[in-house]
Amino acid sequence: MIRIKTLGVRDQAAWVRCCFPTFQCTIDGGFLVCRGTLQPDPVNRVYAVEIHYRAGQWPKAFVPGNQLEPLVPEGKIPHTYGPTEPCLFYPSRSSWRSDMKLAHTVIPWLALWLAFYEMWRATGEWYGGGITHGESNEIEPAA
Amino acid sequence: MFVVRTTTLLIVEPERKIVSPRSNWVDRQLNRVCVQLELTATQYKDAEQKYRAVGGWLSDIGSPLAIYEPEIYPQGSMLLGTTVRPQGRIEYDLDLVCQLHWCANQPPMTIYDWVHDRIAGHETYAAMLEKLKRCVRLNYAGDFHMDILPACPNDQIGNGSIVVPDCKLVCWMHTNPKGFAAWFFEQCRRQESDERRVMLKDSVAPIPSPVPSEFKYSLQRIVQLMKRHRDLYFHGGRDIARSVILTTLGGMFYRGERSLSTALDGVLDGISAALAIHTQVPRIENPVHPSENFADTWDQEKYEKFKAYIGNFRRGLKSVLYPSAQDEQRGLEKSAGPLSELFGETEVKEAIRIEASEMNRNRNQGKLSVGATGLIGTVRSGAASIPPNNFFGR
Repeated sequence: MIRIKTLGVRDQAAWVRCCFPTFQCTIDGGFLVCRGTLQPDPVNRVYAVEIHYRAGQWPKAFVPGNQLEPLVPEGKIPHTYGPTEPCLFYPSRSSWRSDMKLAHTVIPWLALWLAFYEMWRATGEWYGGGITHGESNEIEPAA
Repeated sequence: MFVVRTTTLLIVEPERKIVSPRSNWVDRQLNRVCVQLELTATQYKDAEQKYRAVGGWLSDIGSPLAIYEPEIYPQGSMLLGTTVRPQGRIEYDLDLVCQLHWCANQPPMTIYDWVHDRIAGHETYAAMLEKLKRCVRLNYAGDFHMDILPACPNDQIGNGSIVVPDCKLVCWMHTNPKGFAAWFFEQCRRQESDERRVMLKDSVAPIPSPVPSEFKYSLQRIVQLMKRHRDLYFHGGRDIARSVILTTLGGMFYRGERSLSTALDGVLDGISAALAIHTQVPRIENPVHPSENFADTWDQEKYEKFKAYIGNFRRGLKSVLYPSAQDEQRGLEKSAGPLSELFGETEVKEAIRIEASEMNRNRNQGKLSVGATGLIGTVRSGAASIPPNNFFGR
């Protein structure tokens, strides 16, 4: 058994502010919310994004409002849990552990996801790869 | 009363402008489109074989033309490296000059007939032959034709100048394909300084071997892109926006900008500003032979259509490079749309697919990084790169 040292929400917030100075972080009762903007390429739009995290649980990333749009009304956006929530990693300890920094994982993955999302919007093809729901049912609990 | 005379196209120096922050992305896509516009290796080889066969037939020792020491060389896009893959019903072609010697004293039609008769004397060629105003055309099965231009050297001017018979006017027309190619490559080198010589010698000069798109000069690619948009805009229309006109204007207004899209934008600005001054049909002079007017087939109607084509092209590219605030909020799709309209949907989609696959390759090699604003870039392997992940979900 490998012991991992969970990074506290204060440390996580400090890393986010350090790597992404435009992000605002708030902590309320151990619940971290980071709000900021991401633009993967000058050709992409600027997205307002949010990261939600409680130590020991899976971090969540949101692109709130109607910034994300399906190709047809009521259509599905690839690799999302819901209309505003991209699925950035396969929920297993080999993808993400609580000793990892959000600033080095979830936020860069979200920028990548947005880049592939825009290519999908333009071409109808998802080029970002990934695992489709149902391919593996073994969803591990959060580390 | 005054007489309206056709005037030579005036050059207006365009204003220097700020390079679009999107130009890098647009450059990458345009470069990938250009790769797809190249003739396939088979198309190229096929053209070369046919060129050698026709050249051999014209200059053969047993040919009645042999005493005039025919010199065979390519002219036009195959020589300039500006061919574009045929699309739809459009054919690709190769222009061949059959230059005879000691013949400028002959009546022009005699020279035309000599070359024509020699071609007609070939069993296969005779069936494919078509007489045109200034050349003899061989229509091959498939999507290829070859134009053979009978010519005599213009010794009074020299430097590659030739005279060619004009069947309609029954006279000699002056031109200079070698000089035009030299001028074009001189314009190309505004960008770089390395020496890339165009070989012109022997009785059947080889057509230059195909240069892979990534090694081409920006100006060559600009001309390819102009031709591509012409083919899509007019569904042909090669009589309105003739390749030689596009090549000349491209060369005239190219300023050697590093960025392909910025350079193309500059060329279109330059052409547009120059055309705006001319309400009447201007002359588009051969830069190495000003008495030759490439726009001699334009009437007011064709000229207006040409202006509309340049206007549409320029607006389309500007909407990609300098989008409105509203379009900016639509992101990449608002750029991919007009790019597809300009250069073809399949080609632009393929360019984006390659963009994604390059991003994935860098990602898998641990070479991607994300900057403070979310900007994705590449780093040396290992240095603060994005760790691997799998996007989950349907």
